[in-house]
Amino acid sequence: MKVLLPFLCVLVAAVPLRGAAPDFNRDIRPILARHCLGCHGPEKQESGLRVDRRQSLLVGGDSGDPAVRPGKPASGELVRRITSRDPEMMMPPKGARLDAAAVRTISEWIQRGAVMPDDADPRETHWSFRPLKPVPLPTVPASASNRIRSPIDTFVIARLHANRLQLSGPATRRRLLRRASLVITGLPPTPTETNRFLTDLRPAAWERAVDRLLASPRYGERWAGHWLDVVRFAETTGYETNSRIANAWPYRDYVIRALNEDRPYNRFVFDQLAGDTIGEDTATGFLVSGPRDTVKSPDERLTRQQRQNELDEVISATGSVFLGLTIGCARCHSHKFDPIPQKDYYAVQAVFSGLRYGNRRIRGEENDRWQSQLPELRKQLSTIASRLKARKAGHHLREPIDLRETTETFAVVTTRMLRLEIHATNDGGAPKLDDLEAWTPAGDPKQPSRNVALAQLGAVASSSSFAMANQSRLAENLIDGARKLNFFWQAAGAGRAWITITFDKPRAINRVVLKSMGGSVPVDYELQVPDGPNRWRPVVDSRDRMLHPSDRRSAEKIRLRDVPAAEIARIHELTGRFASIQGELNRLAAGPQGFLGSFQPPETTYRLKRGDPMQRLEQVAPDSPQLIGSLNLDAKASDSIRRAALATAITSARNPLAARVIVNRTWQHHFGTGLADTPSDLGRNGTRPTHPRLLDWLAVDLVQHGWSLKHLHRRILVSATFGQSSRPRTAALARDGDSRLLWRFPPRRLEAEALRDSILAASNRLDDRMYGQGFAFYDVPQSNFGDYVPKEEFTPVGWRRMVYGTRIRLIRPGIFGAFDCPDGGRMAPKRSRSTTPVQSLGLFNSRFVNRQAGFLARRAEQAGGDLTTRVRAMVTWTLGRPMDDDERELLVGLAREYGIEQVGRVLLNSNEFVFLE
Amino acid sequence: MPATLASAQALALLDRRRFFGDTTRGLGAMALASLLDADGRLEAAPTIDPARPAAPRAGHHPPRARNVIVVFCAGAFSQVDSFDYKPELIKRDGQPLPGNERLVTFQGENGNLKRPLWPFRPRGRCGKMVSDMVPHMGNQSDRICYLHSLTTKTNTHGPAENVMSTGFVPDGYPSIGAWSSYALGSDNQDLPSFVAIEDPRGNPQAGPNNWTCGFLPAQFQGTPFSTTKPVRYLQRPRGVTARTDLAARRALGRLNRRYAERFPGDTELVARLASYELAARMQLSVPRVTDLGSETQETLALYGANDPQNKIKAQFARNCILARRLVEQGVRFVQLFNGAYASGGRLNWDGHNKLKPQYDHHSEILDQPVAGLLIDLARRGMLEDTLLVFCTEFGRLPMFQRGTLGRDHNPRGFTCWLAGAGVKAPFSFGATDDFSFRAAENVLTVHDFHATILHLLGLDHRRLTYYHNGLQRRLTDVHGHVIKDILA
Repeated sequence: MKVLLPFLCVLVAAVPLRGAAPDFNRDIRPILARHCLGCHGPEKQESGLRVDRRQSLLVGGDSGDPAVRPGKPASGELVRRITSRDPEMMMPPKGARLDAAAVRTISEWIQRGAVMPDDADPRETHWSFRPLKPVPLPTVPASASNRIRSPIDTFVIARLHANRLQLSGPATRRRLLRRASLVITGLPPTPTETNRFLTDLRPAAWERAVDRLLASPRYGERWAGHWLDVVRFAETTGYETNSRIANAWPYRDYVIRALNEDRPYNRFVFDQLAGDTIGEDTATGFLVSGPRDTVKSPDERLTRQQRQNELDEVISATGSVFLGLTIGCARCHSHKFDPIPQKDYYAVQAVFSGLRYGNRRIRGEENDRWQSQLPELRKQLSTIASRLKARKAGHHLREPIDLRETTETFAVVTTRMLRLEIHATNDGGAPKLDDLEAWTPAGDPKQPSRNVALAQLGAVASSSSFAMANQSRLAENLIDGARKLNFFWQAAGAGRAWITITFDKPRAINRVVLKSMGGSVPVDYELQVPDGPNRWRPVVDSRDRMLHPSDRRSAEKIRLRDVPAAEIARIHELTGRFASIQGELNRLAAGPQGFLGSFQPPETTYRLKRGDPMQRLEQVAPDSPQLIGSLNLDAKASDSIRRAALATAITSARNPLAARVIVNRTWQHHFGTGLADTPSDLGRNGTRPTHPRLLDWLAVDLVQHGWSLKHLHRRILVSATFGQSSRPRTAALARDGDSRLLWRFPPRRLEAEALRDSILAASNRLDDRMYGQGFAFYDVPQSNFGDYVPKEEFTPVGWRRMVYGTRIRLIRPGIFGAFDCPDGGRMAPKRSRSTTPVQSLGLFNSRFVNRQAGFLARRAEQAGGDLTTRVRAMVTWTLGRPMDDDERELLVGLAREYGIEQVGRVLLNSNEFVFLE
Repeated sequence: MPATLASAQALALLDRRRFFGDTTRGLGAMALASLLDADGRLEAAPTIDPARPAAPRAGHHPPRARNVIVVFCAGAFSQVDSFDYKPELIKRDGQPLPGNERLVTFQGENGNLKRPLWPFRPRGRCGKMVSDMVPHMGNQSDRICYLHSLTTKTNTHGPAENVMSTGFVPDGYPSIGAWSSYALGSDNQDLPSFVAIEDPRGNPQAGPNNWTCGFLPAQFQGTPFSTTKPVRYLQRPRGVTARTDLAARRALGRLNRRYAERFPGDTELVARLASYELAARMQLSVPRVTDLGSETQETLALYGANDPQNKIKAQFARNCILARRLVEQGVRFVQLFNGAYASGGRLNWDGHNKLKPQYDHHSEILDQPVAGLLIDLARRGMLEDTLLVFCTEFGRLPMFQRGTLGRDHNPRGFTCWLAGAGVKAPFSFGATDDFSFRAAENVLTVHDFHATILHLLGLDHRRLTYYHNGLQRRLTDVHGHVIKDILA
């Protein structure tokens, strides 16, 4: 929390934003790029001067005069020359001069010390790129040594001491347990848990409480939420269709399970990049967790751009999530801050170039079980098939229609028009066809058979109706001569429909082909030609075709020529069984499917000029960013070898970033802010950690303890730093308003998930069922285009923990979305923490909260006792502590006069309930 | 709402003022301190007071516009048939586009050049050529600054809407309205500083991403409501009387104040108290601003808000009036949508198949209300410091698609316009080639468009930044130039 500065807003309003000093990369580099870098930059260094290198500026060019003297703009060559009017002196010698504003900005920058990124190799100078080495513990003043509970405390106390600060006193045991419970499990402790801890007076009571929290399955659910934020996991595609991805949740379950099992973090990383190579199939959901544009087009540029964007999601995520590097910045040009040349970006792209967004079989017990059922089903299927075959022959029926393409042949007719009358479709839906072709007879070598139902030959199509859609399903799509995804005909509704095709002139035809799109295929139809005005005569129909297994009409609606009704019923029953067994067989044969990415042979990868997919430069072989070494892969290495190699490199001892990144993230969710508060960027553009040596000590400790995250949690939880009070102290606030040096435990508002889960826990309605298909947080959209409406009313299945709620991109989940819950669009390594009236309206007025307040009240009534007893119980369940006298007067009074539900409503809205202190 | 409640709430407000008075005095001796500033980054970002996130803030330079209304035509509005007059296109109707005979675009192959489907004629005193599709807007050309050379980065609706609203193709970046209210706060503390008014027919393609706060704090997100769709959870729960509601609110206030006393100086707690009070004020202010009962018959008629023949037009017109009323109340940024999601051109401007009948229908809904808004802003003197923006995600091609009676997407050249605070009028800037196919003269990007809107609001697009995930992010990414030629 920040400190309230009185009159702050007045000050801000009075001083315009121009106060900030110029920043080299933001303000200076663009000016240099426009006017100077062409001759004094990376390519050319005329007169030996390079203006984007500080060393060169300080030494100057061949003239020997420094180009820049920090603090003294007027006395350096740079300003002298850009302001000179002397043709011999002035820079640039030709072309546009620097305008007054640019000169002012440069002067101000020099005045303030000409700060710019240093030129030395950042791999040796930047803290996060340096190798991990054991860190000695700092010395702590004797006066504070009695506070040390964990090595962490020595670093924190030493830094506090250097700033004339000290730790706050310990928090009360009750508060400490509530804090740790909310941090570790996302739920407040139950009254029983609290009592057990408060009455445990044996040594190491706290350590035992910590172990109990870490052993709770609620831990994995809570921390999976943090991880899913970072990887922006969601269950829709994003972009304009934002379609549901129904089977993305196995990845969510993987994360929960892996955390609960305390899977070593290096293994956790490997699983997500290449789990398919070691039988951890569901972990690779990470690779396809990003949004993607699913609207495809024949436009080549768009298609390539979309593929680049898909791959960019996984490249950027891999960089940010595991390495704390913004590799994505190198898509168009070499990284401006970190040693990541553009080539590195495409080398990583080559690692993932075999990845496709899609489903994959989840191997394992369930899959094996499914496969073992196949032989029996196949046997049943073949029995039915032979019985059907016999009946088909017995009734002289033709082959059933084909779901993709059905051909009808007949004696040659010469006609100007052709009509298809459709009586029914296989699934009862509105009839749908991609193309309707009419072929001239074969046999004449001079005039080979050809389709004359083509718009380009002058044919015209019309239909009884057509459906409205993004691209309307017009009859003219039937004669466009091509199968195109979005261009087919469909009638406006179910039931009968007709199509006519008028040829350019009378045509002799003897074959018609019905090309389908799948779904709603005509199964009962008649082809006709004109027989006088407004009269049609049949040429051929489908009523002598065997039933298709996909035909879902009821038996009495089916007509087959010369087949008695009882026989139709029998055939119908058999085809029905055939279809259902076939369906089950297909499902089982495919195995359990998850949206986990599918893997194909790698595509060739090119470096792209300025990231433009149409401007390919040289081919690039798969590799890791050179910052963490090379994978030394063969350019022909298979997809899985590429990913496995990168995954191994990321967690190898040579790469110091992985451990630093996860330690920092873990710290962040204990204290509200990471040691470095740019958790997905530990590069040079990120902020330096407040306690770099502590971060390194913890990173080394993590690796030494087998990358156990629970070990890391335990280290933090038992520290005096974590266990101190959160109360503000005036003097300390004045020195360190953000509490970043940890002179107290910084209090903060709960995240949306912890808040919702805590409400359900208080009302005793929380359903703690784990895993599996999530609950719907949204009502089904009315259109195909993402009108997801957050639900107001939840049935008990919606009272599971929020981590199991379906995550819809772009839409924040209702009242809890307003509490800075990210929408899965971009990676969210840390959440903003805002306070808005929309939050208050939702928490105070929504049906959800008021209903839970009612349940809370009912829970108290069921527990019995007088009104005061009941209100006291409600305070215990929400705030986790006894009610004091003031509260008794206030809340019992409220309950007596306005109803006990209002007490629930007030408590669930109270700051004490909503804040973690 | 009953009068007794209003006065009871006023009482609660007084309570609050007393409390804040006490707290701020108690904090008088403190100063904001952070030992970490030395390690921090250079930022030209505004400082937000958590207790008053919507407090007005000064920008980088004196603003020409205090408020912005954006009319967003979803689905890609055809410049060819409305504002971009091309005699050469009319002359070459039915001929192939020179050099691009078999052009493949978003939906496939294109046919021959197709002249505008409505005749153009000179409009206003300036004589600007505008078609009969939008006569009311055309007649206001003396007040309009047309930009004919806009280009964008993608030819897919959703991503292009993202670009127009947020500057980026992917989802999740803050919208221009969020950036504006983040930078400048609001002149009204009883209403949200950024309001998104949805079309009565539904949401645009990119939906809420058009008014998202992205990675900015949630308070800067657009609040969606309209004359037909109220703010969610605005009213007290069903079955709770006004008296009970007030009692609960007071009890909550007392609990929270007692709690805050244990954390003197922690602004998040103070901010939460304040947010409940703003919520209470919104319960009065939002119904007041959405109730058009005080508008005269003449005003309603000016916008076409009482058109008995066309219900959707009347609803859209009422949304236009709402936009004016919000700006009147000091709301910083209003986004007003015309057109809903993809629907084969039925519900928005995506005229692939049957452009003429569909656009006849859509322009009837759009034209008079937007012209009415422009006239109304002008006659009330509000155009002095309100910027009216007319935009769409991209334009349409001067050809018909092969086999259809409509036009495919054109991200290479399209028209948007500005009117009001700080822009020249009548004025036209930039041009496409002879066929309205490709921007040819003074080519503009959406970043330029955004940079200019921010500039008019008193903001330097290069210095309005927010740190996110490794970068100082900007609305304009690393691009954009203020279109100086159009500044008055």
